Amino acid sequence: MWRALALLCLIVLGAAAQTIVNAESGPWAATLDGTWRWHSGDDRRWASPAFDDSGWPALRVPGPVPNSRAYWIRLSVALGPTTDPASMLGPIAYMNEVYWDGEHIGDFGNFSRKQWFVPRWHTFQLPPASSKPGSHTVAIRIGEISTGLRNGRQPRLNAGENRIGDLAALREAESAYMRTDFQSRLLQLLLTFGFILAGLYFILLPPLVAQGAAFRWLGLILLAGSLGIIPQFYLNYGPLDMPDLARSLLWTCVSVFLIGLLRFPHALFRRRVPIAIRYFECFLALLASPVPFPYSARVLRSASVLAAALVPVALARAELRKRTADAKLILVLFAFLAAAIVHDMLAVILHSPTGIYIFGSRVVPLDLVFLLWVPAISRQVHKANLRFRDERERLRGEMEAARHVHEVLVSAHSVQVRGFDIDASYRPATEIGGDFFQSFPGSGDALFVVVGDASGKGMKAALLVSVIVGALRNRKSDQPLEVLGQLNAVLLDQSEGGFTTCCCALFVPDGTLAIANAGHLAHYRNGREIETAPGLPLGVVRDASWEETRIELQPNDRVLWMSDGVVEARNGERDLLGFQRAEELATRSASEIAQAAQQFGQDDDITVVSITRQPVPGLASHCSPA
Amino acid sequence: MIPQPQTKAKVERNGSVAVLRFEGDVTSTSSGAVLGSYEKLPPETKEILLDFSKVQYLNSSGIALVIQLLMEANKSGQKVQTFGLTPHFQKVFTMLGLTKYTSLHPSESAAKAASGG
Repeated sequence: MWRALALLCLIVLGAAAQTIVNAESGPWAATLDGTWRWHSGDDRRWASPAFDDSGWPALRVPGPVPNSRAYWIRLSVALGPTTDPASMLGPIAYMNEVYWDGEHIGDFGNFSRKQWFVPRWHTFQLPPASSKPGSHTVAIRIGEISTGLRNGRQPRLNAGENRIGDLAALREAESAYMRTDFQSRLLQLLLTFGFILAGLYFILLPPLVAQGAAFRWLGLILLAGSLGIIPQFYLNYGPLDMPDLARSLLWTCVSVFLIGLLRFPHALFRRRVPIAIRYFECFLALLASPVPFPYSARVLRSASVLAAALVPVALARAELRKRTADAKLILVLFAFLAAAIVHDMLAVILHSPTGIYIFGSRVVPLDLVFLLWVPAISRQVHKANLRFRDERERLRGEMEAARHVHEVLVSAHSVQVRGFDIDASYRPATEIGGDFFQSFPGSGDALFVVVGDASGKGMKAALLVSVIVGALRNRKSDQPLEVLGQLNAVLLDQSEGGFTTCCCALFVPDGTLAIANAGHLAHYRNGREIETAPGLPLGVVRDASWEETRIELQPNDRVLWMSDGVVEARNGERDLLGFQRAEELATRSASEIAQAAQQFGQDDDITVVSITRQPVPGLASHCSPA
Repeated sequence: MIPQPQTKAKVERNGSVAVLRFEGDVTSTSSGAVLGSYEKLPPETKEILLDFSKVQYLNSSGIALVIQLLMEANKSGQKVQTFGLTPHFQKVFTMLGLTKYTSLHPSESAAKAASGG
C-alpha cells in the first residue's frame, strides 16, 4: 500500500524522467531543448502555426513546468531532411494533445473523456507530407490533474527527453528511458516480493500462535500493500488500454490495506471494533469504486488514508497507558507508518520529492517503514509462538494427567463382590467430562454402587469428580439417601453454578435393591426403564430431598445405567440417540452399548454400567438396605 | 464435536409477564442469553415464560444455566412456565426434578393459560 500511496502521489502528481544523453541511434535526432512559449488556459486556435505567440512568457527546457492545470506550449523548429519523421515527448503531463503545423497528430490521454495516464515517454509519428525540411511549429495542449509531484518528484521538462527525429531511433530512445526508469525501481520490486512472502507467512500463521487473528490482519496489510504494485506498474509501464481497471484494482488494494490497518490493532489488543470504525471501513471500501473520483474526492481519499493510519496510533497509545504488553512496540511501528504517510502528504502539498535512492534504486519512505515492520513483528510472532507452544504443552500435560486421574476414578475402582457381576465401559470424549462410577463392597456381601455425571467439562469437571470420589470413600453409610445428602452438602460449595446428577444403589444379596436418584438419567432393569421418583441434582439447593425406590431382583436380573453421553449422542444430522433407542440397546453388554453410541456420534463421555445379580446357592440374606 | 449454533435470546414483556424466547443450542456459552436476559428483566416481573420451541439441544452446562435461572426466579418469588421443549428434554427436565420449579407445557397458549396471562 505504501506503493499504492506512492502511486497516489504519482496519480496526483505525475511521472518523472531521467536524462539519457546518448539515446540517438538513428540517422539523426534533435532535442527540443531551448526556449518554448507557454500560456495558461485552453484555446484550440493556439495550435495554428499562424498564431503569434511572441507575447507569451518564455519556458526554458530543461526547467520546471508551469504551475497551471491547463496550458499550451509552442516551439518553432527547423526540420532537416528525413524519411520517417517522429516526435518523442517526455513525461510532460497526464493528458496532452500534439499539433504539428496546426494538424492534430496524436494524443496521450483523452481531454473530452477526461481520461488521463501516469505521465511517461511517448512517440508520435509526424505526417511525411507536411514534414518537409524547413520551419515548423509544434504546439502541445496540456492538461494536469494536479500541479504537485509526479511519482514523488518535482515535475520538470528534462533535457533531451523531448526530441524530433527518425521514428525508429525515437522508439528506441523511448524504450531506453522506460527501461532505465523501470530499473530504478528494481529494489522496490525486490522488497515487494519479500513483503508478499511475509504477508503470506502472517496469513498462514494464525492456527499456530496466540493472537492469530491479529497476525492474519497484519498479513493482509502486507499482502494488499504489496500486490498494489501490480496495477501500479501496469499504469507506469504497461499498455495504455485499461487504465481505469488498473486504478480500480489499485484502490481495491488500498482499501484492503487501510481496513487491515484499522482491524490489526483491534484484534491485537482484543478490542471490539466500534460501529464508527465499521462505517469508516464501508467508506474505505468505496475507494475501490471503478467510477473515477473528481479531484476534490482525491483529497478526501488522502484524508482517509491519513485517518486510517492514525487510528492504530491512538489505540496503541491508549493500550500503552494501560501497560498492555507489546503496546510500546506497536505504537512505535504505527507512529513510523503514520509519519511516512504524513511525509508523503506534505510532499504533495509542498511539491518536495518523496523518493529515497539506495544504490541508485528509488524506494519510498513507506518501503523503509515496512522493512522495519517485518523483522520487528516477526520477532514478536516468534516470541508469541514460543509462549503459545510452552503454554500448549503445559496444558496438554495437565489435561493428560487429569484425564488419567479421571479414568482411574471412573473405571478402575470396581470391586468384585460375590453374587454380583459388574460390567462397565467408559469411553472418554475429546474433552474431559464429568462422568463417574464407583462400586464398594457393603456389609454382608452387599454391593454399593454410585453412578453420576458432574455438569461441565475439562479440569473443573475432573476436579469435581475427584471431590465426589473422595467424599464417597469417606462416607459413613451405604444407605443411598444418606449418601446423597452427604454428597449434596459437599457439592453445595463446590459446584459454582453447575450440578451433579447421581444415582446411589445398594444391592443386597437377598435380591433387594434400594435406589435413590438425584436427577440421573434413566436406569433399566432387564432392558426396561425403572420408574424412580424424580429428584433435584446435587449441589443446587441445600434442603433438597430425594425418595428411595425398592425393587426385588430375581437371580440373573440386570440393572443398567447409561450416562447422557449415550442418550444424547448426536449424529451428523444433529439427531439425538434418545431414550427410545437407548432402551432398545439396554439389553446389550456395556461395551456394545458404548460402541453403538460412539458410532451414532459421540459428543460427550460415554459411561455404561450394569450389575447382574448372580444366583449364589446358600448365600445368606441377612442384610437389609433399610 | 458438533459445532454449536450460538444461542439467541429475545425478551418480550407484557406488564408483569415476560417471555424469554431462546434459539439455538443451549450450552456453556449461553450464559449471556439465559442468565443475561433474565437479569435484565425489571423487578416487577412476576411471571416468566421460557420458550424453548427453537432449541434443539441443551447439554448439561446449558441445563445448569436454566437451573440457575429457576433458582433465582424461585428466590424472587417469580413463577416460571416452560414450553416448547422437545419430548426428550421434557423427560430430562422431569427426571432432574425441575418440575418443582417450573411447569412444562406443550404450547405457548397452554403456558400463558397456566400463568394467567
